[in-house]
Amino acid sequence: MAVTKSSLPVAFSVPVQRGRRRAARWRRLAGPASLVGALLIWEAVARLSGLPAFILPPPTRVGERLLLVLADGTLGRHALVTLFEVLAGLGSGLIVAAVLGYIIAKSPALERALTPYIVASQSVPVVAIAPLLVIWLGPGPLSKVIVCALIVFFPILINTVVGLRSVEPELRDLMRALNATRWQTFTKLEVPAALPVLLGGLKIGATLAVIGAVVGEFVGSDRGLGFLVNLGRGQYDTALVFVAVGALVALALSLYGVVALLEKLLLQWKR
Amino acid sequence: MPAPLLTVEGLSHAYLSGDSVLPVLDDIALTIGQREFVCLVGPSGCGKSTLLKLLAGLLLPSAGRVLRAGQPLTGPHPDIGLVFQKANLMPWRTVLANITLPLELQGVAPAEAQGRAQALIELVGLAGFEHSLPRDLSGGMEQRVAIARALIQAPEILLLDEPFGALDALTRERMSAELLRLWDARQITVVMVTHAIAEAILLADRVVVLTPRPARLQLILDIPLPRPRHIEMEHSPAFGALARQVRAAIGQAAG
Repeated sequence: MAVTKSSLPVAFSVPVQRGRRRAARWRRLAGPASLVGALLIWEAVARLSGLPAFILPPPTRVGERLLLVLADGTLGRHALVTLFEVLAGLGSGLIVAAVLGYIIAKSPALERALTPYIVASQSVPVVAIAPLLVIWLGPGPLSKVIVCALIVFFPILINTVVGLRSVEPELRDLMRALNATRWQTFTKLEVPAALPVLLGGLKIGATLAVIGAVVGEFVGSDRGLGFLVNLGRGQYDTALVFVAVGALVALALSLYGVVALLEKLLLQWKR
Repeated sequence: MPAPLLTVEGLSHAYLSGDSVLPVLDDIALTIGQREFVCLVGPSGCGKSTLLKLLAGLLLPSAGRVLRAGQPLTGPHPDIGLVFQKANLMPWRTVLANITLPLELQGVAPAEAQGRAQALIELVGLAGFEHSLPRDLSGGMEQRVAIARALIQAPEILLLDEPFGALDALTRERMSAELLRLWDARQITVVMVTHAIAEAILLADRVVVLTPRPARLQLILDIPLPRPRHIEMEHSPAFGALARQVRAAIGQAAG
């Protein structure tokens, strides 16, 4: 009896563990595998369907175009313009939204006074006022920065207010009982307590900011990845459109990744 | 009777809720001596916690005053440590950083603050958990951190608001014993709100029974049980008689 008892788990655990390891390996390979599969299907459809390259260029063609614009520096130049617009827009939108959010979270009277305007401003589609901004501020990067800032403003504002409201009143009592100054309460209680929600807002904002920059560039500009999309379309250089769109996706994903990394570093105390 | 450390004179308090006034405390007078252990008991919602907040300087009374060492209390004071019903720890701070928070706010050098915290961590039995986060602690351990944090400014007075209310019965008994040990070791004055009659009698020099809202003093009962006290004393006839007296007072107060 004793022998069966002790040998049972060993006998069963080896294949179980091996199976689990195999499943984990599959999970790691699933992403790249599906990507390769999709590219193969795309290549096959593009070649076998007989569609002209300006309608559906095969991925090999897009790859060639990518190498070309990488080599002559076109892609880097336009990507840097868009990156600057996105970062400047995200930064200024973040600062204005966080400051206004703090004021609103602190003062119910101001909240009542400002909320109707803020909500009304959100019902104006930013895409529709982008032309106005370009008319007023010119085709340079400033109008795109403002479009980005407008588009990220609302989610960050809301998340700032929600984050600050989520600070537990008992912890406020504690800070008061310890004679904490306003600044100490801000830096040692409000900022760390609101940070998870604020970073959540920044994550949304990071991807929205890329959309904002592209919208601004579509309306009027002579550089940026959005401009490159437009340029490719105008010249029936569809491979270039794919390259520019791919670069935009990569930009948005890396911004999202940076914020996610920030979350991981700053919020180690969570989970 | 030792020299009075805390004096409460004609203390009344009312909360404003909309247009109506909600009286919570009515004309409380109380003198608490140095090194005394006082428990406040009464029906739930009677204003015990409000009284404790007034003693902590977190609230200012509608009428009357609180004197600390003869001086009127006008706000929170470093000589008064406060432990809440919830441990109230900052989840992003380690045990050590939670305990040093009061010193950090006072601008004490980190090295000195950590040294003082380390001694307290050992005193409350948390050695080895300095760098743990609150999420990894049990309820009892969290409350130990809260007590250590309240003691780090070396206060003369420790106020506790149902500190063990959320703990299971066994942990609660152990924490009561620990509190007695701390009270003895640190030579402090303790005022504790509780709704457990046995706990109050086991710990206190005096038990103060409050009436339902608005709270008045119903009874102040001296507990002449010898010290050091042990949990077994709960079975003694003297203990039983005291418990009956407190229970009767609460019953009378409830009408």
